[in-house]
Amino acid sequence: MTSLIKHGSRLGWALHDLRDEFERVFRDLEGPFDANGRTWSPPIDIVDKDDKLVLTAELPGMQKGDIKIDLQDNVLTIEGEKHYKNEEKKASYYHCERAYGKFSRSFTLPRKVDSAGIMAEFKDGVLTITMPKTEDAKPRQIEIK
Amino acid sequence: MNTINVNKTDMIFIPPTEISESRDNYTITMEIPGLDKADIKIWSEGNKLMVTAEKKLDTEGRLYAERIGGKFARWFVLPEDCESAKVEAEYVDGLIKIVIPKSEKSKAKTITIK
Repeated sequence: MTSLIKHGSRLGWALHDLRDEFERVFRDLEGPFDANGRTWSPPIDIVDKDDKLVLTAELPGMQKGDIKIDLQDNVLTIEGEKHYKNEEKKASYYHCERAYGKFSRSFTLPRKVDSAGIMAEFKDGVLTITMPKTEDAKPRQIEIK
Repeated sequence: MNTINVNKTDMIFIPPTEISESRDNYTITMEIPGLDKADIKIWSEGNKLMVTAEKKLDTEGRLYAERIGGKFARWFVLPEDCESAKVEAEYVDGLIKIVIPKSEKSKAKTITIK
């Protein structure tokens, strides 16, 4: 398409950008999908407490074994899959708003954390990751001499 | 009435819900992670079923905020063929699961050929 346009023209660059944009959109679309073809992404909060960062993620209906947590160079990644479970076989659905499938989310942590002291807990569909800050990342009062 | 008082303006989230039917029951499943059992009220009258709950979040010092807390209420009109007096509910893994048994006469039956 771009070969028809005189190289370096403004329109040529605009088409270039458009093509890149299309490519980006289609690349993003390759992510996980829910039952209705939408992508699924669990809501996540990160709270800064004085001596720690606390991340909470809402993963209702999932099991501990479905979740993987990984920390590498201050980038925290949470991955998992919500399985579609139909305990009562032959059940038919009237109404389905819940989303299923795989997800993966990464965060660059805004403060340095002590990777050895990270604790994760999963209760009532909420994943809580407590990350203690390293000594130099903790807030401290500076005295005036 | 043993419910949580919810104004329309309070409602900022609606939990994703699933309704399914099996041979003996209707099942309503709602995704509401991180609740206290005491903050969930389920109430039925006639063929109406109401679920109210309040999700409390620790929002102080949030660097990243996607979770939504607050109150919500949701009403369901039950089909005529169910036993609303025998409704059972549980809260497991962040899911409210309400099982509504069908009345005896409307349950699916296998008919044997004589």
